[in-house]
Amino acid sequence: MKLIWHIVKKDLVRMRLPLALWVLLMVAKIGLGVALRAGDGVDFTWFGRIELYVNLCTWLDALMIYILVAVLIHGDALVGTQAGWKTRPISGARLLGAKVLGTLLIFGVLPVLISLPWWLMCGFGVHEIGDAILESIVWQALFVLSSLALAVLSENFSRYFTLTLAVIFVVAVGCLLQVAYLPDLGHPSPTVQESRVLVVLALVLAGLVGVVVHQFLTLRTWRSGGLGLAAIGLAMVAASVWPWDIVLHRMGPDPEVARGVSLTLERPSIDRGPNYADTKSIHILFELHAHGVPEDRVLSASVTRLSWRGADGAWLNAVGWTRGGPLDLPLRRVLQIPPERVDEETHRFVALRQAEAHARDHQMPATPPVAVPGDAYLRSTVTLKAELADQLPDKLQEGELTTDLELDRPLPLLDMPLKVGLRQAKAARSVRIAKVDLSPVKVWATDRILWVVETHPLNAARWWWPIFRGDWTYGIDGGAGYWEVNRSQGMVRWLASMGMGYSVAVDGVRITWARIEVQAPRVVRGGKWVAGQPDWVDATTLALVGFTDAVRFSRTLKVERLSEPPKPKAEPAEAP
Amino acid sequence: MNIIETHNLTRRFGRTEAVHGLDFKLPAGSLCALLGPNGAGKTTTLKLLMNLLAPTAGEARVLGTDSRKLGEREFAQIGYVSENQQLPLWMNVRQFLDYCRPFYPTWDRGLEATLLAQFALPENRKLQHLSRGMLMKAALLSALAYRPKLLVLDEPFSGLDPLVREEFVRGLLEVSATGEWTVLVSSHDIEEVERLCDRVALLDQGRLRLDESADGLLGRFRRVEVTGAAAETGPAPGWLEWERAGVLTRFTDPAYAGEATERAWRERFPGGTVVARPMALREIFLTLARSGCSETLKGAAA
Repeated sequence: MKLIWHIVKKDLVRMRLPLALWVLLMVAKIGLGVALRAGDGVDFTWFGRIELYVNLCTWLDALMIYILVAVLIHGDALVGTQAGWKTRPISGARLLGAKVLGTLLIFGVLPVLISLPWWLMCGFGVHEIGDAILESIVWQALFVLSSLALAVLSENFSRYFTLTLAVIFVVAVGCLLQVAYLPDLGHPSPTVQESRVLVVLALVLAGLVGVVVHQFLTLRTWRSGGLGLAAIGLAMVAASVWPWDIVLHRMGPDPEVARGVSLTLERPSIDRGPNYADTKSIHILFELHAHGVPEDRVLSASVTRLSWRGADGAWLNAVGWTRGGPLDLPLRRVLQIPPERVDEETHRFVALRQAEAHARDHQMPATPPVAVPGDAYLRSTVTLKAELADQLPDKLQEGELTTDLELDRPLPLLDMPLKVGLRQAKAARSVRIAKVDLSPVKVWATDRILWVVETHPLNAARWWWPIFRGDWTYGIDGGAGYWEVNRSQGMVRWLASMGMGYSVAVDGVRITWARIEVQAPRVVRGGKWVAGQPDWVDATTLALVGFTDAVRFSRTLKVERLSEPPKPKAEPAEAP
Repeated sequence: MNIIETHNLTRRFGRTEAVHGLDFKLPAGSLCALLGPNGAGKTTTLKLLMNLLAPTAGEARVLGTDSRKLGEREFAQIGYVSENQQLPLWMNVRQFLDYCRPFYPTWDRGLEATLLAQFALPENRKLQHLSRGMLMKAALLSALAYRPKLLVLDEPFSGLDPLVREEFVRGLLEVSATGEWTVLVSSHDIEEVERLCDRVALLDQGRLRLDESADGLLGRFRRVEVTGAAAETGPAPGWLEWERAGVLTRFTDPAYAGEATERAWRERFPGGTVVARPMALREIFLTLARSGCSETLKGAAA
């Protein structure tokens, strides 16, 4: 170990200048982040320019990693007969140990140490810092590992660069061949497709590690290169032919809180949609009714997996998306918002207009209003190619619809009065109201535009980790969102997701400048909208609500023959 | 005990055979020069011995270990200096020695200091700013300070000016006087090698043409001049570089064996005046190179 450390120290001293340059680059990037965080929140041109610099730093960062890896490895080159270490008492294993340790220090510890003050400044706790470290390491590893595999097979930088181009060319040609000659075989189910992604990732990872370790231990360059090529080839074949679902823990037994939740299928039907002729695709719509949702939970739905058997025994596997799930009731509970004061005239007017609009745009009946605690309506859409449209009703006899569901508990994070300059932070999320403007829309000039500067953890691991864990759900936005809360009116209104706006990620922190429109309460009087509360600005708060205690499960329903879409209803009656 | 032994050692690069069936033994304590023209296979042979290249066929044993299995233990007893070796040029001399030292349990700091003074190396100068001669001396120092059992030098004099070469050889000789090691040095610089080595191996086109002690080699080669010999007298088998100009006949006899050989010359050139003189290693090398190092040479020597 002493000698390994001795080699590492030598490498660190040798690389001090490029490392200093790299550190400067990382510090500059964080400096841009600090500037964005302190910005006026309004000048989006300036934001765009800084975003450009941040992206430039990110690409330069990747380039620097590519160069630094070469400098690290070529200092004691593994290829050729001129490297000094080969005739010194330094074994390949010892050198490997030194280079691995050096790699961890340079590309693992150093960026974390540089980013740590930035994370602390953004209010990150231990949990968020852990996530950010993991992300930082994964990001570095992406470039480091592939660069390492190329560097150990080359003697100097020119060969390293040439080899890089050659490998890119080989992979590109391989992908083309794979697409041309190895189309998806066996019509795999979505779960097998997910497994293929994991297998390909595992093979590529194993190939890269194998190349590096084999080359250090044997110095047989051609064989090491062959190992890498074999891994790439295997990965390409596996992407097409891997037949097994290897995610073992997919949606295990129902968690306690989800046991009472059941789904019923209301209306399976085909919707050719208004743009059917252009898109050449059809949508199969499933109206789902959820029962037994705990009152303090939000039911979110995401992926729908449809497996249908035709009359000829053939199977159709398709993936669709489900939307829906009311948040209103549990949110009122956690934010302590009283029941909404219902203005009868306004309510009638809005309901009618909504029904009209829905019928006109979608040729479908409006979604029934959600009023009963514990119930939720979900709409699932599976999109298929148009040529199947005419065959589906006849050919598809019976099938199963599996929907991934998630129960979350709303977590109130911030509740801010609409005051300029106010910054609040909680759970690594910080929000500053940079400016409040009157709405430029003259009709509703009493509305307000909030210019908000926010930071929150990038937390990409939150999306990726469940994939490897096996109980993942696509697309369910577990992130926080803004709500307009007016307790005097009993009003709560969805505004925007956190992170929606001009947004850029700087070392694990997402900085967003958002423009949020807050509406003044209004009522309908005599068929016209009028202001409903003169002092509404003081009575309104901007609430940031996240989710916690996620529970994932799935439900499977039997699907029988489809019905053709219902004819559009007659024009609704004239509104009062 | 042989420090180096090769059996049928062969290395091909594509269709080119750089080393062909090399059978070579280097006894402990020898200072052996590996000579040969450009492309003879000297550097390839040394790289095979140092496990920098893998043999296509045959094997080499260095310090009793298969060259393919040379590890940390063996390299701690081997010093290798090559003109092509990459050195950490960004280090200064002191940093370079400090870096090398921990790898060698037998590193002698006293010897290091002595050599540093002998070689007059500027400790604080970066290797990249050293002259070629200084750089080779720094490399040599780093290969000598741990008193290796085997010192392998690949073209150490290449590119050195005469003054530096003199310094370098003197340094080597001084160190040789203090240590008990085996040295294998490949070089074009025959005069310098002659001062250093007690054994000579000659490679040509990847084949070992001769391998014997320097004294034996110098002892058996004679340049002979005969004046007034009969015109019809021709060369004896094995004689090299036979030439005749008027009454003067010149040739090289690679099998001189004292009085008996001189008697044979006189008998072959009755009435002629025979004058024989010893040859320098350089002359022998040139003679052999020009004569194509025929196989008969070995036979004659035998």
